Amino acid sequence: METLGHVINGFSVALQPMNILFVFLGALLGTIIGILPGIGATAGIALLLPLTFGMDPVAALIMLTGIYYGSSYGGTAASVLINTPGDGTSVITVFDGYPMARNGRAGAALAVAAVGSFVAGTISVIALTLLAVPFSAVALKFGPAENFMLMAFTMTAVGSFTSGSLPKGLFSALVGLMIATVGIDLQSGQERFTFGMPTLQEGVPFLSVVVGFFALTEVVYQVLGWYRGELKPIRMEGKLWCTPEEWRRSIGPITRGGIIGFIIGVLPGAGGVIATVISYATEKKLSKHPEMFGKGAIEGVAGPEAANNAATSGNLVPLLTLGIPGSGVTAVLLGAFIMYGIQPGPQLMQERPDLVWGLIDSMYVGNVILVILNLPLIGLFVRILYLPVGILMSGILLIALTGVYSVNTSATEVYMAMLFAIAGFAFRRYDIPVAPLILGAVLGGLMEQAFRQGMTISSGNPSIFLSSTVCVVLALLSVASLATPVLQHMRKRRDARVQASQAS
Amino acid sequence: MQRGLALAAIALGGAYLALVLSMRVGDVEDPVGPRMFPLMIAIGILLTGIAMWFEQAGKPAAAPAAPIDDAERALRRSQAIAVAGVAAGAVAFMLLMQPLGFFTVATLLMLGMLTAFNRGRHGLNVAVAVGVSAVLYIGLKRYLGVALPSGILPF
Repeated sequence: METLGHVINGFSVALQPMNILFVFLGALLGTIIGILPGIGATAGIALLLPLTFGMDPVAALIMLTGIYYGSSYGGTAASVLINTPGDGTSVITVFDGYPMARNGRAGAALAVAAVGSFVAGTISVIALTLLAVPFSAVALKFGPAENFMLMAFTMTAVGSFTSGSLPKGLFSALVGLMIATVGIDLQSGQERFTFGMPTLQEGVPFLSVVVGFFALTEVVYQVLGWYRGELKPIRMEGKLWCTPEEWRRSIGPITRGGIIGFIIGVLPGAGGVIATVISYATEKKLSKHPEMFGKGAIEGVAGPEAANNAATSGNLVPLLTLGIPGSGVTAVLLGAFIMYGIQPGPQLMQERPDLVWGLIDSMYVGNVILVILNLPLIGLFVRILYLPVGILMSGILLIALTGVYSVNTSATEVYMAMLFAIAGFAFRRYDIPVAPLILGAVLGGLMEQAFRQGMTISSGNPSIFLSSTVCVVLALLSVASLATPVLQHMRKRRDARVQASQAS
Repeated sequence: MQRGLALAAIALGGAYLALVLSMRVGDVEDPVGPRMFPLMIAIGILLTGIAMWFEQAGKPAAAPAAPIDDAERALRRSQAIAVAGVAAGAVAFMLLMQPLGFFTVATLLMLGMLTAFNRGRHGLNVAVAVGVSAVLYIGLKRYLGVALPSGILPF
């Protein structure tokens, strides 16, 4: 009943004409960003975030969230038509989406992806709506020790599961935490690692970090890629709709994908990529014709696309209810909240229900807008794939530089973004995931604060971090998230040894 | 190369640890003070660097890289020059923004990049450079109140 009241109030915010306009803008920009190969939601939000500075926070957050879930719709087009995913969550769609396009069924692949995304997106927003109140009620009981352990678990989970290498994932998270320690220590007033630079007294500018690591690094990779030649899209043929038989085959995968995506999305570190992989594996296992997977099976597009979209709403559950992001893109969104002076979490749900529920309800509106944009108008949007890469990279560079400069009219912050772009290039070159770093940079301040508050309460006794059931469970989950990749690695090596001994 | 990365991580952790240990801490009210958390991070970075090293040590030696032919060498040289050029353009954009004004330098930056990476379409390139710069300039300055410099232009 409490939730229903919140939902009704949320719609009174989401349906204001100005907010509908920003939902539309977010959905539109998200679709475009998703279609552009290589630029995912994180880079897109990082690029456009500075330009929203000065806007009404509710409208800006509605738009940025719209970009997030909108990009998961748009990512399909690049996967299906040019065999290149828009971002990591669309990689699986390539396996069957591109063969479908080569068989003249591009329209069916895009249609099932759009409808599947709409159905799963709506299911997952309903789940988000239902879970928001109970989750935040639990989170309200958390003290500093529980908050610290929750953040520690999030960091270890994201560090462990976003990379093939546990040390690299953890290294990235720790570098993010290191960045967060720069600036004036809020408890003692002491300057730390500022090297006498006034700009650093308030900490390393978040926008310099995200724009450098995502947008400017992307420009460097596009320049390098330009010399290797541009990608040629397959021309869309036939009707943008599926046959009755294709719809019948897609209902199950869409429903299962929606459920899998939401559950995986809620878990920190897992996110859309893992959701799509699990959905694809599930559909292949359940199929009567698993041999068709990889050759244009519509189930291989419907399930993962639904899972991908549902995971975005799932990802927002810990961000909105606990104030803890579970992925790189939600870490950037948390940075956006903080930039507007808003700290998401259980307190915000009580103090600013209009904002939280307005944002959640805007996602219902956004999903309707997106299915319209991605069905009748998708033919128009795929023309973006023909955009010369020179225009794209020069536009990204100019928007990125201008965006960082415009927030504080500070050239120093732009130079810092350029330095982070060099670091971002090195991270990509050596396969170090960036999401844990962003998470560390955003959560570092809160994590240190919770750590020191806990230690103050216990007069310096660290056992406070294992003093409650919640803390113990979170500690066990942290250990499990660290142990899982190690155990997987050991199992792989053992299997390889067995195979080698059998071969000899 | 991956072992070099492990060494770089260890070096970063070591440098950060040195900074943490050299930090002067006055009287603080909380039991751990401003040094404890960074100290934990520095040790963590050192440990992950060491773990990266051992991770590589456990892997079979990588096959020797294929020799680079002349075409590949020329391509890589062109790529390096292009990236350096874009970086120089970005730095020049920042240095010249105050004297020349945002609109002028933004247009020049875009036009320079478009001339290099969208060759032979001069009319389109000019239109895109002027259009994007104008939209950003007017949008940010007029509608979001950002103090972008006018420079040599009267508006």
